[in-house]
Amino acid sequence: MNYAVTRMLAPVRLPFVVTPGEALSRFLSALVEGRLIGERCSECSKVVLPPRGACPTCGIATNPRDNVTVSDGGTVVMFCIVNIPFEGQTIKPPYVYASILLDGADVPLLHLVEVPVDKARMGMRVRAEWAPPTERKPSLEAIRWFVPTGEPDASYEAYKEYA
Amino acid sequence: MSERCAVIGVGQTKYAAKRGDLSIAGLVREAAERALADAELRWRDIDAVVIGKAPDMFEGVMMPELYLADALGAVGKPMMRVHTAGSVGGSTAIAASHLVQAGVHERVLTVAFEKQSEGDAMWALSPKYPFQPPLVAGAGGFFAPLIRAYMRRSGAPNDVGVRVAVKDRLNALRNQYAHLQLADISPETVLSSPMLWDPIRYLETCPSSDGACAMVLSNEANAGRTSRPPAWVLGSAVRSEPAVFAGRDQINPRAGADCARDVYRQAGVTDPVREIDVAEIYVPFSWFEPMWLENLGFCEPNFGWRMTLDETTSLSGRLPVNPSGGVLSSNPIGASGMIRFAEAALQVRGMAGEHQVDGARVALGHAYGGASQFFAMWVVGARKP
Amino acid sequence: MDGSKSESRNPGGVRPLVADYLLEFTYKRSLGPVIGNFFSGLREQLIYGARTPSGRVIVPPTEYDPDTGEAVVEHVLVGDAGRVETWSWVAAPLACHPLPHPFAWALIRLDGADTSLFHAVDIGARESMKTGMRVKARWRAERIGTIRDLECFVPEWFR
Ligand SMILES: [Zn+2]
Repeated sequence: MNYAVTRMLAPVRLPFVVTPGEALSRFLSALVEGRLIGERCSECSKVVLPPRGACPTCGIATNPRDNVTVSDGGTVVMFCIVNIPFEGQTIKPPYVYASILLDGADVPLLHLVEVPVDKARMGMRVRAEWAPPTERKPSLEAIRWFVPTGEPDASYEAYKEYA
Repeated sequence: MSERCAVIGVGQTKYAAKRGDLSIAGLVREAAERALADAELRWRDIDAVVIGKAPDMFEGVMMPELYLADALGAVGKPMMRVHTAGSVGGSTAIAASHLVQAGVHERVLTVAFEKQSEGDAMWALSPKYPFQPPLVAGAGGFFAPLIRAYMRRSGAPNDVGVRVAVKDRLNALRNQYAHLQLADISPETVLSSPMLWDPIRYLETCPSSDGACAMVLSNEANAGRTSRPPAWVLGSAVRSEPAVFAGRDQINPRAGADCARDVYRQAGVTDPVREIDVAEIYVPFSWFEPMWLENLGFCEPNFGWRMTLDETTSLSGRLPVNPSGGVLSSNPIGASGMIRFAEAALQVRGMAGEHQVDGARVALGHAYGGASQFFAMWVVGARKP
Repeated sequence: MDGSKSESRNPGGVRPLVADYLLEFTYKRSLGPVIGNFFSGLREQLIYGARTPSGRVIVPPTEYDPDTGEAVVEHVLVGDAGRVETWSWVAAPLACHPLPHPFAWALIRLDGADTSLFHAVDIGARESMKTGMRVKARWRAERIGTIRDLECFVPEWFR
């Protein structure tokens, strides 16, 4: 033998048909229309998005009547600056990845913020920049990123329980 | 609990970026045989096997309990698998300990492994599913914002993470099994390493490792039969919580705090920082040391970083944390939790070698996983409960 | 799925979205000494099994005795021909199958082995397939050290 075989390649190929379910489908379809919707729990009144068909705190089922429109503006409560390239990345580093508390929501949403990385800060007020209507797919990519609004920063007290 | 449970054998492989010399079967076998040798037992002495590993896509093995039954001597014996993301090594050991405590089995082999070199953890953590938020941040992108928020919340100075990164790598130099052996580690080398996910630098993250860890757990009747001292399980607990809910504190998660309270209550620990001699805590990014010190009740919220800075957590401090070098020095993900549990056991058995904490009698092993959602902990002691 | 039923459960809204999703990845396995030897042998048109401490010859080899869990003790060369123990006919092969036309999956006890190897038998017609028949390996001309170096098995009388 010339050399020993020490390794093998094991390709895995699994085709699936996936559905996000009714609650998330309503959210994703609303994104195509340029709206963000959450679910307000009838028990604890908290607004959660993306919706999941049940309140994660109380465990009770939600239904379409519990959908509420949430503002596409909010506050950066946490963020990091991504400097590292990796498999499957769609944009070129460095960029800002943030936890954004939308006005009217009780849980933050993770998304990009289009701002020079040295200008990013907690408390910054931002608003969604939507893709043009014809390019919107039922995905959070219907929002390209969030951009600063220029409003004064939110006070730390106003958002600290989310950070 | 009807039966007492003790750790009577611990086995670890050498952790490395790639163990190209071994199949997965050979890898778990190496750890298991070392645990058996430590326990002075043979394969036939084992009643059951409990195995844990990372989620299936990490190394592409979906039924380890089937594939590894012969390698782990489980032919004709009960074998089961435990599955709780990054905390799996801890919850696997706890499931195994329950079999002993319940009086179902006398001696149980528990094993956890990961062969990161065969897959791609970054891909496995965030493949691009339809309808799910796009993949934009990578592995550290979830935790980096929490660290920035912790720094703001606690007022911690910027160099706390650097201190942890150096301390754990210096500890690893005393551990023959540790993957990273960075003899030239210093604050300067950490500070000059690339900023991957600001505020996380390259040398503040864990490596990607191959490795396995195994333990033999025994009931009281069999624990006295070996020449080496056992580590008694004084308490164990598992908790979980959803990744997203209104009012969730991701930095100091309720599930972790509840889990710690439960395990201390079982172990009779009322003042953890006084009564626990050494802790092996799951710290994949350096800043998680101060964050988990608070979550684990070793100090008041926002005070964890002071314990790092005043060297309470150093090898010679009052509460040494991760004398083995921790996850920051070896990270075979599926096994990392069990390594924490096993290292805690080695410390109270007095068998931790060069990284032994003098006089360690009570130790905490801790693991967490998911989006800081799953927690598993045990407290082990040198004295029979 | 009955669409109308789905809508009646969902009075306010939207029909659930659906999408195809392909999960695809190539893992890089380290083989270890036993399986590594088996694949190395295939490249040379040789089939190696493993002898267990009790003397049984396992083909394809495992690293540990499936009966006892003891480590296997040595590599053993076995024949590349053997006997069909049982089989199942594949009338309509799938894209992932080793042959594009109808064939049999079979458990084949190679000469010198104590266990059977699962592989394809290329025999043309179902009627020709018989339990107990002798088959022989058809090797690929280009061999790289994988199980596919064994293209399939064919009846010995093909020669
Ligand atoms: Zn609720």
